[in-house]
Amino acid sequence: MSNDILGLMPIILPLVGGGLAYIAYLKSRNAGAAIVVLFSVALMIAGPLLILQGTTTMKMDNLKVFGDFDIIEVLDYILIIGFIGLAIGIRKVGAPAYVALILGVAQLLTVLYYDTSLKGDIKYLPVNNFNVDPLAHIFLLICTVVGGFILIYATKYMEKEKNPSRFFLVMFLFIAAMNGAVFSDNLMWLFFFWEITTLCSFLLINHDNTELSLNNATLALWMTLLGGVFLIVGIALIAINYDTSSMVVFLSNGALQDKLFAAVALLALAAFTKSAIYPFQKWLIGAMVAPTPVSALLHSATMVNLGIYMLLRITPTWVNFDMFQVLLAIAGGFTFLFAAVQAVAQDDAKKMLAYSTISNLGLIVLAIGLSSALGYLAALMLLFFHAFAKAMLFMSVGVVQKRIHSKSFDDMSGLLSRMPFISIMIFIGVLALMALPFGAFVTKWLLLEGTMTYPVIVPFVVFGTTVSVFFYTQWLGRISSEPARKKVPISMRYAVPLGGLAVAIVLSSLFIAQMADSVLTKALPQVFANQGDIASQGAYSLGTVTGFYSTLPLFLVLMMTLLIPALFLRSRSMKKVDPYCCGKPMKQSFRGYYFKDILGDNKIDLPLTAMALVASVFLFIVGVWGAWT
Amino acid sequence: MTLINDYPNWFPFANIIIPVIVLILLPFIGLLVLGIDRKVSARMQNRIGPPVLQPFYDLAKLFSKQELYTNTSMLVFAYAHLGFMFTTAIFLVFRQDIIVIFFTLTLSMIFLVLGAFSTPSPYSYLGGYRELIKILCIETLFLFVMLTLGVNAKTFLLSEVIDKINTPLIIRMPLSFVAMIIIFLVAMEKTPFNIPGAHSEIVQGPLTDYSGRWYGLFKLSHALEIGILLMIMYLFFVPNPILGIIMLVVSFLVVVTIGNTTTRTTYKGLFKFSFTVGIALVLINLIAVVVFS
Repeated sequence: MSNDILGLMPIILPLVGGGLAYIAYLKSRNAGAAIVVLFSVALMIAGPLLILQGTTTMKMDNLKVFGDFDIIEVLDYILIIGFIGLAIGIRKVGAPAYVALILGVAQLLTVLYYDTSLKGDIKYLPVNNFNVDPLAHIFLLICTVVGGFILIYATKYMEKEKNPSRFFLVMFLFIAAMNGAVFSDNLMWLFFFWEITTLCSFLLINHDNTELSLNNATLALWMTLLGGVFLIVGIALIAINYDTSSMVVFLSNGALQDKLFAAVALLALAAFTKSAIYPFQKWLIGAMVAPTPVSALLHSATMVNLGIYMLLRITPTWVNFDMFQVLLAIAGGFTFLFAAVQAVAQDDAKKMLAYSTISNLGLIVLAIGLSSALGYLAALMLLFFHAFAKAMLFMSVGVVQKRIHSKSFDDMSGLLSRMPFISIMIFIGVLALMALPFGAFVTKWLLLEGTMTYPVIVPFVVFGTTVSVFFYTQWLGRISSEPARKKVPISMRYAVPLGGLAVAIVLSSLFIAQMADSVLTKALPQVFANQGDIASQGAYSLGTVTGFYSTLPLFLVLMMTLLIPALFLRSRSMKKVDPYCCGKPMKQSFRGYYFKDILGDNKIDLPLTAMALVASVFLFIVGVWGAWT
Repeated sequence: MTLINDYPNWFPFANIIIPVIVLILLPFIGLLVLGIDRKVSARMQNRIGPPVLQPFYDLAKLFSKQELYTNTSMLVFAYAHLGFMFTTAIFLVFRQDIIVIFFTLTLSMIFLVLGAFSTPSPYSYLGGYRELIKILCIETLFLFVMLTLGVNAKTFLLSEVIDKINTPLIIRMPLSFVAMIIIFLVAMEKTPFNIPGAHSEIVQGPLTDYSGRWYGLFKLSHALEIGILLMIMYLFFVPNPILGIIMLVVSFLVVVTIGNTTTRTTYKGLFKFSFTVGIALVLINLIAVVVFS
């Protein structure tokens, strides 16, 4: 039992931290901030420590309350009834609230059916309710380290915002639920934690409690509750067909050759809603009304990663099912390309980042759809680098927004001279997402190598890659424009998390081959073991696919071309002149090119969502069809 | 790549020395091509034209001029542009992964755009945007060509691609070569697609505020880029150097002729052209390569 408690530290620690922070913030803001920083640091130590332990299992089957009832059943009912109450409470929003209500009732009925008719017949109960394997380790690492940095940052960001006590309580709960979900082997526990993240995202998006935030939070609520319905129906189908409520047992049936593809399709759709894959992308854009640390947390450390986790976990079920793989890859490719296209039309930095998150998630889904060792590795790597870079970018935008009171790119001119530290952080973050020698480039590269098996996805990857270059470069160009202005100092609680993430990105890019070998390849599922000969040839170790490419020389080139001129230019005597403007005085008033007339949200949102909806219905039909053929 | 697909084994360290020699020659080849272009264009327009070595004289003069600048970051970006262009050339002559070659080339172009954006001149700014749209259109085609090359050879490592060549690639990838000519046309800053540096509209486009030594850096990396593209185009004719050189000369004349007989289009024109005709060329070729392998 004591071992169990230690293993569950990444869940318990944030729960305790959240509770204490809640109490402390009610007393004084300084005490609250101190508690939050303390527990964030503890979390950032506890997470990696658990990873060093290797695979850990927690039995936790003696949690009986009310006689025969397991604690999880009680918790599930409380949570779902809570959702129904919540939906009734916000009924003034109108139709979306009623949709949420219907979905809550649907979940309640499914769980009731599960407990009354199915549960008694289940032969294979989970051996361990919690199972922390190498795949869970990667999510644990991202969640604790990135989440910890975001919390430290948030203590400064929320200094003058209202209601910080509830804010930090929910933030900590979110991290706990995320860790819980990736630990759970018992599917009912997984469902519980999954739905806790839904609740947390509702509360955080609605933090400002304005009409807009309530509307957007309700949108997120019903969309992710729909995912919850998919999930619980999928769990029920697994119980009916495989007599189990354990993920490990379910997956140990090998590649599902005969039936039950409907369940897998449902789990995949549930993952789509969480990861905001088209057609479920809308809620993540709406979530931008929340305070910036919430966006950072939703987009990098938690929430959207949960869907990716689910897909990575159930990858073994479709290794023999080519049609499903292709459809998944196309769904991901579609999202990658069109989210990037929609990002071009955004002049609001947070919205652009939101679309770029969706785009990157699409790329991860595409990589998972390849269903090969190479694709799986690319997905893990992109997940990792995206989490770190995106947290950094959101946090930087938050600092800028606090300072200039605008999120528009057009107002960010001259940031490089006004806030050099933040600008360099934005540079590192953006380059990490789009260019070599940083890590995310390596994933795009692996993917392009992987396209040799699935040429159908080539156009998606190519167009998506070049379109992303367009809007990222435009942003970088914007912040480096205009002559010098007065420098603005920056708080340590902003600088430390940002710097920490930047150092992590640079170091992990430098040692990417080592990281892939020692951490990421361990998470590859057993089904890819037959591709193990690739490992001996060194494709796993990024050896053969890379020639003499190594990140170190490229980093040296980058340093030389950026730093050395910057240093030696100072010592040169040069004449500074005004920019050329036909001899007229300079008036800087340019707006960026956003192509809103053809790419604006109101133009292409609807057709894209409709197309994606048709595609996902098709995905589901193929899944069900797979059950019969 | 170096006119031969196998290095001579009687020559010690041929696999290092020959690529290094090519690397050093590359900017000179580029400058020479630009000089010949000016001469041939002049003759087409019934002018005598500058001497063939004019780009060399220009470069030498630029490096001896007074150093003027408008802000520091644009100078840093100039070095970064040249640095990554040079890295691309290194990866190419040492026959490394073609996807890495694509990404280093794109990164180099990104630094050019950043350099343009970092100065407040409206001409430079507008030129930067046009350059960005050019990147979107042209690098897409380029990446498709690179992927077709890799899919055809079942490997992306250039040395293995070259090792596997039996018959010249042009036979399997004729449309990709046409796309390469389009890319070359744009890189040579010829009409109808010389929109970023359209000097009659926006002065020198992205390079408006660069002068002297800094402008020289861009001239140098432009020459390098021309050299890189010519090498990649030559790749289509390995292992037949005579055919290769003839076809490069023919492509060059086609580009110069197009440049002297057309008028400039807008950025929308470039966009429409590359996303219809250009993409059709590379996609059809890619599909054909996939189907016939």
